[in-house]
Amino acid sequence: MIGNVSSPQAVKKSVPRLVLLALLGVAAVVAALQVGPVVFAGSFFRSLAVVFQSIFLEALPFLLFGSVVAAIVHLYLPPTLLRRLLPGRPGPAILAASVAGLALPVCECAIVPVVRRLIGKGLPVSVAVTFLFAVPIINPLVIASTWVAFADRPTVVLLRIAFGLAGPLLAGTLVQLLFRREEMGRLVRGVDASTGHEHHAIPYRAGKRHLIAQVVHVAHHAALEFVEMGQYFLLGVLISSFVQALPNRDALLTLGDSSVGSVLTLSAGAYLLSLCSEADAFIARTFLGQVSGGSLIAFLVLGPMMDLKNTLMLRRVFRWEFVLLLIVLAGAVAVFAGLLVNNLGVVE
Amino acid sequence: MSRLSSHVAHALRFAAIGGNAGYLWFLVVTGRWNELLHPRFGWLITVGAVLLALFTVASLVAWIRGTHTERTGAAVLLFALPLVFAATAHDRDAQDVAIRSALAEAEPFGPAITLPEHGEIVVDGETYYRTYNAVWDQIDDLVGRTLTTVGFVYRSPVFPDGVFVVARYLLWCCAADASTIGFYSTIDSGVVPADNTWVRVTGRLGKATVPHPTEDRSFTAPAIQVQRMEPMDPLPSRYVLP
Repeated sequence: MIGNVSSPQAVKKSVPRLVLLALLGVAAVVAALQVGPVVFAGSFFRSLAVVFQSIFLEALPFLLFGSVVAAIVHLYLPPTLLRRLLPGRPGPAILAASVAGLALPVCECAIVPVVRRLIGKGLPVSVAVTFLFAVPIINPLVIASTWVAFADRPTVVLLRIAFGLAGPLLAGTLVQLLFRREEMGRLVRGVDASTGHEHHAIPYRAGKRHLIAQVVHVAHHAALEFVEMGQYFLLGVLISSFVQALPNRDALLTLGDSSVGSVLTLSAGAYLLSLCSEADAFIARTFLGQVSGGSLIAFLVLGPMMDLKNTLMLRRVFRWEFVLLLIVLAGAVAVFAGLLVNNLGVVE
Repeated sequence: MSRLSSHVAHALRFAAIGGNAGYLWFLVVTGRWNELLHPRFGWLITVGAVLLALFTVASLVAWIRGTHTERTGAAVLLFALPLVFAATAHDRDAQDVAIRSALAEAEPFGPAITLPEHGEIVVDGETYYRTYNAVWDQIDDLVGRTLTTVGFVYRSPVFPDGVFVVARYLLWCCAADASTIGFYSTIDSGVVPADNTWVRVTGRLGKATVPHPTEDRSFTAPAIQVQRMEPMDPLPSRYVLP
């Protein structure tokens, strides 16, 4: 994260570019403040502004929390400890990662920076993928909210838990089988996953700093993490708000009439809407009776594993090709779950 | 990285974090977060404001100490978005626009209250949603009973003349997932008060076929034949919490 040494030519080039970008930024903010009230008078933009603010505020505390945990992992977790804690063989490690959310109940926003730092400390990518997919579903808060929303349909709760376990286990196992350990290093940005060393990383040092100095040190690193991940998070929230502010959002979600169509439509909806996994069950509930049972399950399984704002944040962790593979894996699990439930007819 | 670039990177990062910390503190102090989020998020927003304030101080300390830092890209300007949106749309009308775009059938679910066997049914206050649930659940047995409810007037363009909803917003999590609920009401005179007028309505319960606001279909819902309607002062919150 720190210590990127640039060549003199690069420095020479970067100064005018930075000044230009800063000027453009100031101009953009001033223009937005001046023109904003006029442009935003239209109903679409007013909706966009409200939806943006509410998604931003709802998810922000979790991202901040994730940044602090990531900074603590980065500064204080010795790679040796992680290796001692994790089962040595990939299978048991993937299995352990699938239920880690029971001890770390966070949503999909908070988990990305944590995963990034854990990979930096040597967590195998296959285990990280399982952890990334499982924690936002298999955690007490999400299970409880799903239970409240579907108290009269316990099958929905059980199916969400079942596919929320099976999907991440499958994804982690596939990644383990598809990539050799030395290849995994190429999937990750800024981290050599084969050795677990971050590029530009500060080596582990618990140090004997004064408590306040330690807090400021952690806060500084958490702030860097927040700014880095926050850019992708904000872009994701912006795009998701655009989708949500569309006048016929609900109609969009019920476009598919057929069994396959409704599963695909609600899967796409879960991805685009980027709802928080701790609240999405309540939204899913409002679709009950209007869409097929399988499409509800697909909606509940895919959203926490992979959504639009998550994708953009993952861009900072993995290479695009691998992010794309993760989207395909998560989507395939959700669509398979939806179609299976529709065929079995276990959710009405 | 040159000294100038380093200062620019520190300054941009400090502005991004500090600006959002200020925004969050503004929301905490004024209580305005309440207009966008469910009350259970209150402590999370406060914790978020404290963390961002801490990050701001730490960023300033790092800047003053001249801690080596990476270059900051133009994407950091995205952090201005929350401030720009907050500055341009913070009034209640804007919320209404957002929520109404999500208006749906919103058949209720969750715990219901035991309704009185005789006399008037009142759908108001903290038991609003549970009473509303009970009315939906037992509507076939309640036809003809007297019901009083409070809310603001909402008219969808697809409603026929003389029909409106005595509406409230049901908030599960945040304004982005809120939806309009309420009682479809018919008034014989055909004269419906202006949108957003707060009213207390008493009438006879029945069932009505209501056109869906966004889809080409109808659904059955409890409805009121208005007998008495009085304007009232707006309640502090338009939201109903399940």
